[in-house]
Amino acid sequence: MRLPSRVTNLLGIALLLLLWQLAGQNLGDALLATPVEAARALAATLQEPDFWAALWRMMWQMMIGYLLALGIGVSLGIAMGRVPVVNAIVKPWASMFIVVSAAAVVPLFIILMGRGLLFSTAIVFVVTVWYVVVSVTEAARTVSPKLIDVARSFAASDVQRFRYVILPALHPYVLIAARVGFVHALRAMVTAEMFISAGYGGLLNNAGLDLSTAPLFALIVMLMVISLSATTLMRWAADHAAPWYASRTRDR
Amino acid sequence: MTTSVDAPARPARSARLSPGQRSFGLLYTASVAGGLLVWQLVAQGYSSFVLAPPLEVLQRLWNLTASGELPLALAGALQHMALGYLIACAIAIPLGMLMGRVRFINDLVDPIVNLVYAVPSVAWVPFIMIWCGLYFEARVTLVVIMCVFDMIIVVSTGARNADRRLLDVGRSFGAGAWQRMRLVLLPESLPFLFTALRIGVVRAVNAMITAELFLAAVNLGAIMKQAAVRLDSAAVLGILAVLCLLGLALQEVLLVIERRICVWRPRTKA
Amino acid sequence: MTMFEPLSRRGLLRVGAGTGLMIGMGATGLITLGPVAEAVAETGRVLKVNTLASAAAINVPMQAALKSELAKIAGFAAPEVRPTAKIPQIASEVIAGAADLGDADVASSLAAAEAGADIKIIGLSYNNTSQVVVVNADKTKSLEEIAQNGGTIAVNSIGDFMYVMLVGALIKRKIDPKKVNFIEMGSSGDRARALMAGRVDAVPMHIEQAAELAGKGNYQILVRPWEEFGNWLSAIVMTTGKWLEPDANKAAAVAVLKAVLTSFRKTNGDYGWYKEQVGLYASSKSLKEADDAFLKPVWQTLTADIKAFPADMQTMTPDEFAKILPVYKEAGALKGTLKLDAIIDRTYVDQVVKELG
Repeated sequence: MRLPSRVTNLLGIALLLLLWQLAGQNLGDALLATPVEAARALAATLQEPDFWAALWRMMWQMMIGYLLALGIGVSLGIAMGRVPVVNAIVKPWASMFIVVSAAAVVPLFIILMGRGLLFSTAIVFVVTVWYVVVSVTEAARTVSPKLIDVARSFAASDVQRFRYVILPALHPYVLIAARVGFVHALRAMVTAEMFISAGYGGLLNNAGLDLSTAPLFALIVMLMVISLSATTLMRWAADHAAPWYASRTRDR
Repeated sequence: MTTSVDAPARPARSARLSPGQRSFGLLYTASVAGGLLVWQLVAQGYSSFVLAPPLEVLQRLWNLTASGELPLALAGALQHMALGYLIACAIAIPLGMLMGRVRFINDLVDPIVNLVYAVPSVAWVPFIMIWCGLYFEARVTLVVIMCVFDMIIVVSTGARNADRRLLDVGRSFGAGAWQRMRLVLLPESLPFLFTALRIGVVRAVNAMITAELFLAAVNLGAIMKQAAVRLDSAAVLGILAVLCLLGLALQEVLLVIERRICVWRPRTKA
Repeated sequence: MTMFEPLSRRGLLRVGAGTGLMIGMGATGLITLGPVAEAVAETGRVLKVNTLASAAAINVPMQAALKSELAKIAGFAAPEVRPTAKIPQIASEVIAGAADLGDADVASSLAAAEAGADIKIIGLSYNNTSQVVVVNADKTKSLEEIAQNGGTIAVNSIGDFMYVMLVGALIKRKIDPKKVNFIEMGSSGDRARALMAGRVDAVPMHIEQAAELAGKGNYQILVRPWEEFGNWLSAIVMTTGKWLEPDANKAAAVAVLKAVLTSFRKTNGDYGWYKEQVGLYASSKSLKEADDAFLKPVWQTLTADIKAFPADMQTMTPDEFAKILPVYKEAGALKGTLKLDAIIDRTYVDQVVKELG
């Protein structure tokens, strides 16, 4: 008997909530608020106008850095994957900067760029772009030679080969890079905001001051919900935009 | 992933580099040198309290190494990084493979992974402090948390996308489940497993310093914090540079190991 | 999944690209509107002042000074108050020129001065800290006990003013500070939680937080800095000597200090005003919503016992700072090579006192 996917998803989440509830009951709300308490705090938080303002601020500022990282990252990744010269030049930097922790460079960035839009965009961009570049490079490098050979045997020019064979082949990987990039961008944005105590990060800081962890959890749960919605949306877009890929791997 | 029937089995790369590869090595070094030059130029516009130039950073690193401070700190930091990384691999690879092949487990675990993945690690720090203390165990836990989700996602995506036709071919040749697993699935999975290992190592180096900055400050984190208070930006940048080089080195090592093991992978033509 | 005609798939991609473009344009629009709107709304100089991100009860007068009082002074608009989560960063941003003034701490400012930075201390953010050292009295009864068992004390940053105070208190009791494990924990909420979880033995926290914690168990105050040291200078108003050179900036310094002193005097005299400011500017929700039964004793302690808001900032003298330097030296936070007279500058405060009377 096979349970439909949605039911299993919910089952997994329910299990997590149960474990959380048990742990929370043992430790008390100062150490680990239970899901029930967190839900109450969430209801209260959602009613505060501050919350929505902070959420909006975080999202739109993050999107700028994210879209920039996606645009530049995908192009750079494809270039690196197909053109070895570009790979040789960019690869050392990609490998080095991908390791940098946002928390370690935020103080420097604040001094160099202030605390405004430039700063947030820069942090999100610097943290996200390398993940996108690395994923897309991998994908671009491993486009099956057979596909390329077929195109060549049909006398496709370089541009045609790129447009009709390589680009569609990369499509699913680009969407994976977009999903991974989104999460890293979100996390970098919140971390940066925590340092300057503005927006959503500021809310997290202030919630941390409270002895009860319920408001803190409420904010964390909202972050999870946003990320899950965004990645689900992207996955849906991926499946619908590239059904040939899904059919190759879906077990039917 | 797929083998090209027409490409003959290539012999292992000979020790001597071909002229094409030598020029790439040159480009690699030229790129790094170019970056350092840009850094030098930018740093001239700022006082050394804020952004120290590369030569100063190098000198500071030299002092720290000579006094033994840096090697000791690095050795200490590598301990929790290595342990955390190994634990993360031990969790992520089996779980990811299961998620890729068994739909029930995938549907069960996937939402949890995606939910927890969304939260920045620094938000977990207070809870780690409460449950695991402040020292070694807590640092290892943070490293595990920061590595395991990225790795699970890579492994499960790769396992899920394993070409069914290969498995079907195996089955039609009468291969049992275990044989299919060993002779088809495992070799097919090796490339993305290596990708997962590389991503994991990247996250581990990141987590190594994050743990020391947000939990009890020891080793490299302590040096960075004390340097920040004394406005010693050369030391701060120096440690960041060491971390970058460490990350680079570890990734390249994994890449070399992968090439050695996965000899059947077609090399892309220039 | 049914078969999609090629057109609808491309259509989807086009829609995606279009949405992205619209988001980009919308974002650009917001960027341009944002700062433009701000610039139009304000007249008068907008100073950039770095402060600590979390405002405890003792920080409220300073916050009120910046956010309400300064705008009342002619020629100045409400400053850009830049909350900073990490204490040492406040001073380093001012030194780097990213901010005009900093509501910074003594420890990192003096350490930076020793490292050669051009620091000038022109005022007090508050006099004497309101942080106390709290323990779980069921488990620990004294500092001696903590040292004997190799216990752990969590501070905000090693080398900050509470760390130095604790080391000083230990040395006064003839306890070797090396026997105690000091670890850093950024937020006061996290520190309180670590204490409650039994992960650390003692934790500094503000008196109002200690009062709140006392309700949750047998948590008692072990050390009160104002009883140990008389006057434990903690947070100061600092800037760079270079910034103070132009006359316009000198006037700005005077204006800021005038706002601070006005705020101090109002706090000392008017509990109602203080309570209102707490409701506006305190960071902790429970403090904002606190009732008189909770807040009034806190106010009493701050104004009368700790004397946190001196009406003329009379304690900001090189001599007072000189009293705490030896403790810093012993704790290893400073080398002790500072010339305090060059760093501490009373001229602006004195001018304010003359103007305000």
